[in-house]
This record gives sequence, C-alpha cells and structure tokens, in this order.
Amino acid sequence: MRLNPCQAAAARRAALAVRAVQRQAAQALLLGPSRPWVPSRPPHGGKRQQAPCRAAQGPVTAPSLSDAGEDQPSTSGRPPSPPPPPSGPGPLRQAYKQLLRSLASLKLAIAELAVIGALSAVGTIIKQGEPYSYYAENYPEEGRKVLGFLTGRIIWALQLDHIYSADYFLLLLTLLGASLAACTATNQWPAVKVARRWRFKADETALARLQVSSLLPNARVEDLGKVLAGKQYQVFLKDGQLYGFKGLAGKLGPIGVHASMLLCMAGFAVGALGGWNGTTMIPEGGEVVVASALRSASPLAWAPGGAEAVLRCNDFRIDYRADGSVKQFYSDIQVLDLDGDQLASKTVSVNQPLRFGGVTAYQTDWSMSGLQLQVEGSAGLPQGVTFQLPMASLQGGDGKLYATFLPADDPTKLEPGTTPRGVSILARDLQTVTFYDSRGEFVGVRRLGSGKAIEVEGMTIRPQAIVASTGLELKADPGVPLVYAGFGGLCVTTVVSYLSHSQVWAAQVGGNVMVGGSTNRAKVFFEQELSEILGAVPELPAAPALVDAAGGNGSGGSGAQ
Amino acid sequence: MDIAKIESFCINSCFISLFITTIYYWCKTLFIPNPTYSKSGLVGYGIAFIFLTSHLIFRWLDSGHFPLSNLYESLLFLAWCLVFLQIYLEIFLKTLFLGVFTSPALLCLIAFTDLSLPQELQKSEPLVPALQSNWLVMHVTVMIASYAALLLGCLLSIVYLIFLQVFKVETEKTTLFDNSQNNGAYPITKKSSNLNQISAFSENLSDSFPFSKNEVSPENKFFGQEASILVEKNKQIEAGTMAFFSEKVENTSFLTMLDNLSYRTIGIGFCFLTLGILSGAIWANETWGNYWSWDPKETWAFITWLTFATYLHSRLIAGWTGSKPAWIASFGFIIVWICYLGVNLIGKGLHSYGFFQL
Repeated sequence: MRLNPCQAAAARRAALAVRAVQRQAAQALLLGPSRPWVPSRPPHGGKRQQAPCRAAQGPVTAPSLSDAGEDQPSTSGRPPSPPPPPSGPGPLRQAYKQLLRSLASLKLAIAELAVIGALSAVGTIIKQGEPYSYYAENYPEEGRKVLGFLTGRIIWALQLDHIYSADYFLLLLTLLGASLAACTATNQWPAVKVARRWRFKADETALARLQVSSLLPNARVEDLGKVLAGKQYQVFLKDGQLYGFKGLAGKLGPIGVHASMLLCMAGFAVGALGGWNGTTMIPEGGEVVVASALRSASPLAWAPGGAEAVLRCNDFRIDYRADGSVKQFYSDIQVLDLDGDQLASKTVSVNQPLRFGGVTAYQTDWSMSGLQLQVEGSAGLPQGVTFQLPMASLQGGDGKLYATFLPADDPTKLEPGTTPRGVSILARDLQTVTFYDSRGEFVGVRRLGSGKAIEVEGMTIRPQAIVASTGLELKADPGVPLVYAGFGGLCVTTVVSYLSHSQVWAAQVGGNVMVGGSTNRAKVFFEQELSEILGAVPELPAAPALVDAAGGNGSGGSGAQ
Repeated sequence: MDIAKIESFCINSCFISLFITTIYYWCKTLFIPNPTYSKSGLVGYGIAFIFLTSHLIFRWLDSGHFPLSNLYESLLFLAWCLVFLQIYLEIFLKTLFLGVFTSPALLCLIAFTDLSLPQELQKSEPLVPALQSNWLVMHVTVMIASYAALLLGCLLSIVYLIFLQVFKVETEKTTLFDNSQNNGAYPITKKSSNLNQISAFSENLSDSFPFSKNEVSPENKFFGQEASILVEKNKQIEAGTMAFFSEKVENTSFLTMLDNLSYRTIGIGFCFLTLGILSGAIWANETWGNYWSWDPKETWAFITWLTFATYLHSRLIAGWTGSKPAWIASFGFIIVWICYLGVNLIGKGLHSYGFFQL
C-alpha cells in the first residue's frame, strides 16, 4: 500500500500521537508525581547557597554539566557536583577547597556584581575628585542634609569622593577576580573534561526524559544521522545508537569569557602598579625631558626606555572650519636622545598619538605662551623690532582665554601705587587678538599675520603671531598588551557564547527510532529545528496494519478526551 | 530640492507609515476574532525602514560623516536598528504579536525624536576632533545596536510578565493539566525543561508553581510551516472538549516562546554591548591613553553590562526561566534608558554628544 506524502505525514503524526500518549503515561508511572522541577521559581533553601557554581547549575541549562545532567542520577557516571570532601589531605587543603567553593558560588558573584554596580552608580551622582571644601559646601552638616544624612564628612570618610580608587572598591574588584578564577577552576574547567565525554543512550526512558523527545515510526537511525549531518551536526553512530552535537563552542565560550576577564584584570593591575603617566606643556621650539614629566603609579613601577628621551615641539597649529569651530589640533613633535640625535618624529593630533620606547604621547591640551608683536610710538620700547610678551591664562578649560599687557609708559619710571597706562591684549584662539585700552574700553580686533596695525594709547601695534604650547599626555602602561589580549579574547568568546550547544541522541527500537535532544540556550529554535529534522527523515515502507492501527488509534486518542 | 526638505519629508513619512502600521496591528488584534498572520504589517514596517534609511543616508551625504554625531542622529539610528530587528524577527516568527508591541514603542520613539527634541539638537554638526576616528563608526553603531537589541529583549520580557498576569488567572483553574498532553499530535514532544533536574532540585517539588506545569506542552503555533498544519490539527481537537485545554497549551507555548525569544534577543544585545564597550575602551586608549576613566557614560554602560551579565547567569547557571529573569530584564530596561539618555542629562563627561573639552 502506497501513501501519498500527505497521507503518510498524517499517518505518522497520528501514530506519534498515540505513542506520545502511551509514553507519557508510561513516564507518569515510571517517574511518579515528583517530576517537575519548577524553573520559574527561584531555587531556594540554604543548600544551594553554599554549593559552588557547578552544583548550582540546573543540569539541563548548565553550560558545563549537561552531559552529566542528562544521565540518570542513579545510573550515571556523573562526577559528583561538589568535589567530595577529601579524606586524605590535611585541614589546610580542606580549608583551601572550602574557600574555593565559597568563592565560586554564584550567589556571591551576583552579590559582588550588584555591589560594584551600585557603588559605580553612586560615583556618577557624587562628583568625583573634588577638594574637601567642595563636599563640605554642597553636602552641609547643618540644615537640610542631602537625602537626610549625607554630609561632606561622611563622603570624605567613606572615600566617596574617589570611589573608583577607594580601598574597598579595589578590594571588591579583586574579590570578583578571585570569584572568576575560583569558578573557572572548580566548575568550568572540570566541565570541559565532562563535555568531551559523551555517550550513547540506548534506554528508551532515558531518551524520553530529555528536553525534547519523539518516536519516529518506521525509520532507520542511519537516515536520521544523515539528516543531522546535513544540519551541521557532528554525528556518531554505533550499533543502532546515535549521538550528535553542534555548537560545542557555545559551551566552551563562557570559560573563555571568564579567562579573558581575568586577563583584563591582570592587565589593569600591571598598569596600576607598573605604569607611568604625566602631562607636559611644551612651547613651540621648546624641549622637555620625558622623565621629568612622568610620575610613577607605584613604587613597583619600572621606567620605560622612552623616559630618557627628549621631546621637542617644532610647531603647534589648530585647523579651523569656516564657522570658526575647531577641526583638528596638530603638533610636530621630534623625539631626540640626550645627545640631540633624532629618534622619531611625527605630527601628533587627537586620535593620532606618538609612540616611542614604551611611552605614548597624546594630544590632549594646548595653551598660549607668548604674543609676538612690533610696536611703534612707545616710550620705552625699541622701534621696528619683533619682541614677545608672555601670555597668561584667564580662563582654562573649554573656553580658553589668554591675555597679556603692553605698558605704554616705561614701567620702571612709574611712581609706586599708580596704575600703569597700557594696552590689554586678549586672545581666545590662535587666529585673532582683541585690544583694550587703559580704561578697559574695547578698541579693536586684529587678525594675526594680516600685518594690519592698530592704534591704541598712542602706539601703533602690529601683532605678528601667538606662540602656542602643545599639551601632551604622556603614558607608559605595561599592562596594555595584557588588557588588549583580554579584550580580544572577550570579543571572540562573548560572541561564541551566544551559540547554543545542542545534542541529539537516538536509538533504534525495533523498526522505530526513539529520539531525544537537549540544548542549553535556544530551546524554542532547537525544538523547531529538531521537528524539521525528524520530518525530513525518510519513512520506510510500513506494514499496512501498522498504519491503519496507528490512524485508528490516533483519532481514538483524541476522541477519548 | 532642498536637502533639509527631503530629510523632513523622509522622517514625516516614516512617522506616518509607523502610525498606520500601529493602527493596523492593533485593529487586527483587537477587532478581528482569531486573526491570521499576513504580511501587511511587514509592508508598513518596510516602508518606514526605507524612509528611515534614506533619511540617514541624506544626512550622511549632507554632513559628510557617518550620521551618528549627536543625540538626534543616534535616536534615529536606534529606531533604525529596532525596525530592522522587528522585521527580521517577524519574518522569522511569522507572528502578529511582536508588531503589536513594537509599533507603538517605535512610534513614540520617532515622535520623541522628531517632535520633542529641540531644533538645535537636530542639526547636523561637524565632528569635534576627538570624534574624527574610524572607531566612531565601530563604537557608536555597535553600542546603539546593542541598546536596540537589549531594549527589544527587555520589552519582550515586560510583555511576558503582562501576559503571565493575563493568562495566570485562567490557568489556575486548570487542575487536571495532564489531560492537555493528549493533543500531543505533533512530531515533537517537549518536556518541561525541568524533568531532568529532579536530582538536583527535588526539594522544590512540593511548591510547584501552578503555571509552570503547562510547560509540559507540545508545539507552538507561532512557528513556520509546521504552524499551519498544527493549527489545523488544533481545530480538529478544539471541536471537542479539548478546546479549553488546547487554548491553555497555546498560551503556555506562546509564553515559553516569548521567554526564550527575549532571552535570545538580550543575548545578542549583550554580545554587541561587550563589543561596543571594548571598542570604546580601545578607542579611548588610542586617543587619551586611558582605556577606562569612569566617565558617567562608561560607568553606566558597565552597570548595564553587569545587569545583563546577572541576567544571563540567572538563566544559564541558575537555570531560571519565566518570570524571575523577566523581572531582571525589566529592571535592565530602565538601566539601558538611564545609560542611553539619563547620562546625557547629567551633561558631564566625554559622551555628552558633541560636547568635548580639549
């Protein structure tokens, strides 16, 4: 008897219906009422709190122990979840194991994350790194206290003014690192070994107990293997038993994530202990010895090779857009050795630092060091000679404002106590300067380099150029290679961890194939995929009696309800 | 024609198409009994997507840099990512419910972006020196994509919690739930994922959450080709007294699907978030020599990362499913918004979009 595909599918589904009912009834008998563990409930009770990470994992969802979890507890060779108390080793070793276990606990780790997160949030609300007076003023002791209790003294005592470098915060980060390491050692690493150990499942009830299970009537396990292989599963077949898996990387990924985080933390520590940093302001034409600008982060720091070099700023310039906003800052920097030979040279700009001998120089700031000008008609100043007036900062930060003063009378001949007559010259950028007379009245603006003169206080002033200083941030961080290695590892392993580790077992049971499978992440997708796979397994010519019986039972099964 | 006019035409058309799409989804769900899935919603989303894309492209052409330099542009890109995700998921899931929730959310987002943001903030501005780097495209696109995925995942979790409340009331009446297994006329039988966990968690058995029993349920009608057959099957079964149970089963498998979908969406968002934070750290190290400076934005991205790391651990290690992780995700929903918008309101630090102090 030949069935068209449609009928065949319907017949198969009907047969499956029956089987499903029968199997579930069988399971109900086998397993009794005590089966469902409730995933939507928090596991509670003190037991799991002390249990290490590994024990806390629900076997099915666990990345580590799904193999073990899918075995029957009674029959499996599952490695004991918490390492058994060692009988031989001394109390020290036992204490160490106990410590490792408590560190690896998920509850502890989550608590650490929560506290670190909360403290970090506090640090964004309370302004960091201000002097005590700021906190005393903004969080007063008397009157209305902030939140009813927060005063400057409390902030100071709890180190909330520099929370990210407070002792307890660093301690917490160290603790988190220890938890990560402990979890990797006691839980994740053993899980790799378990993951490599897989076995066939022949027992029908064992298969039926898996997350997803089904019975394929009139099929061969070899055909299922082929379809699975077509869906990128690694398939193993032996004596009518099948094991297939894919996405193993998704199971190993979390180990990589933890390892990479440890690498990053090691890099932070190396940088924090062995690093150097500093800032320097070099006027155009000026030089600075790198070592003089660098401060070590801790007494453990070792000096980078570049510390002996000399930095020379040949030029600093700012590119402006048509609307006057800054386009980019450039410094021509030469690196010289102590004998004056050039080691390197580069035009540094924001996003384009200069690296030499383990030190990196970043463009982070600038200032004005002097104004070059020519003056005619002044009492004490030479005519027709370009000279330089030093400039001082009136306002730093984003809206820079620099000024200088050009005396109109010879300052040495002034009587003490009188205000000197002269010109105040202000500059906001390297392009223009503004002139004010003795009474503070605005006189005019001149563009530098235009050669146009201005008359103020009887003098003819011709501004030439502003001598700028480039502000460089100098850093030597020996931890960066480690941190970057950790970052690279995190990028790969986090993405890999998204993969779902799916496993399929099957066994030939007479003319039928019993199939079971489980996955650790994409459960709904896995069900759908397995459903498609089973649908694609070719059906062998079945005995007509079976089809009829199955069809009859199928409708009967539904009708019985 | 003026490029500014084209841009405003694009964004307005996008708004209108989203508006119509929202009305479509809601009317179809509310007023049509047993609505069947059709692609009309996708068409609406597709039109909105095209307008949004061309809006971004016009801005790119206009300003000469990738349009991600201020809040307005980042909000547009966020909307773009959300529409993209929505279209992708709807094609994959072939379901109406997703659009019912995402369309009003997106409508609000576009309305806020287009109407509420002051005009000065909408103007495209030249990049300050610190942002002139190829890392900008990498860092900001990945960050915004992660916000989009996380927000969608969290939204699904919130929807899950709402549906849980709606369905729970009915489900509690179901005492003889085992009966429902009899409509297991499908090739796959899904065990409650907890079956294998007897060994570890048998102490929890006595207080089974009534709802979770429903997890012993087959198939789910929201998927693929299988769906049509299943629906037919369901209809036959529903004819009898099974109707009551099969509805429950549908509800549960719907919830399970929602739960897992939210998990997977948050998972992808977490990947992007990690990549985004790391690219930002590397960029900062290249620019200022400091990969981490506890800038408010950085700190809040870190807090977001911690929150979702907790979420993923609760799923993967503690094995939670259902409402518990959904509550964590709902909390994460708030955290993501603080990280994305709240920090900008503080107005301090390197990330206040367009403000930079050299």
